[in-house]
Amino acid sequence: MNQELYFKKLGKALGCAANKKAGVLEDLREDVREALSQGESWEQVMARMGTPEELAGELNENMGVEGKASGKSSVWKIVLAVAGGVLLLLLLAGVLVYRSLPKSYEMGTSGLFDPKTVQASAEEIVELLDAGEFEALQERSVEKMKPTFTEETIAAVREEALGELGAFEKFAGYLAAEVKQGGEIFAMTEVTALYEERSVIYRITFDEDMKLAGIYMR
Amino acid sequence: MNPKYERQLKKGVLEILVLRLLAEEEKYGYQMLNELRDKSRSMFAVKEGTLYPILYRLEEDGLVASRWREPKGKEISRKYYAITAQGREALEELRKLWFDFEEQVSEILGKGSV
Repeated sequence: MNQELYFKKLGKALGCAANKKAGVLEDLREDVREALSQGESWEQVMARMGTPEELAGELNENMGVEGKASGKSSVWKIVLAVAGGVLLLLLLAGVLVYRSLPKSYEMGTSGLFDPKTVQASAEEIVELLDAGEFEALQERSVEKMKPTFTEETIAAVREEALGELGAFEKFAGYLAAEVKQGGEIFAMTEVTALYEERSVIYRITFDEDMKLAGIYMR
Repeated sequence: MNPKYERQLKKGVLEILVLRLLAEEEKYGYQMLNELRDKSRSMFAVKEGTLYPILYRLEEDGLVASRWREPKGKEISRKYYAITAQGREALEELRKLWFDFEEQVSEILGKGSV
């Protein structure tokens, strides 16, 4: 680093008032001139004084002033910091929203699910529900879902949401897709089942291990 | 040992030493740095970042005064620091304080090994 750059950096990093700063820099320049005229090399002088930042840090500390990390004024630094913070929050929020939005793909895209197995499993879940096989449902569910499958909750939900169904007649429709949400991939199905009194659409979701991860009926 | 303790201890006497150096004649910064180092067998080999703030403080307190001296012949223009009358008084008081200080500290620390 040459002398000019050294003093430029030093001036920027000094925290004292402008008029005082000029005096400090003048003293140091004279010091360097003196050292050079007495046979020291610029490299030796620099090695002794330290980097501009180190020297400024020492001077600031010994003069009891706050240092400045850069040439920008502190007001601008605050403005920049706030703007930076806001931008970061917006970005983070954007990423979170993006990650939480489900992205759907055609069933079979990831290779994690076999479309036929998924359909068979979804219909099986409906049959188990109809049969009241709650233990079997619990076994096939992810941990979080297990408490849902008790006779009380399921019976209550079905009764309240759907009313009287009557006997099961047949499966009348099926849709499936892969859904990516929060870094995980799920198989989402919609199974339409016809009963004597009405039809019910079941939305049944499996995780990668074909464990039942969600169920919704209307 | 943490070098912080050593620095802290030395820091306190720098003002007296600077005043003492200036009591002989007016001097410029680089000269003081060299004298401090040579006369103390490097114990007070301080850097610019330490010396100049001391000079500024002493100047603010009216104990030293600085002036730019016009270069004579091949000399370069230099800023000289000189002790003021008030500075001489302060030096005398500080000298007395130092000897008392040194005596009491040594008394407590003891001359032998701990």
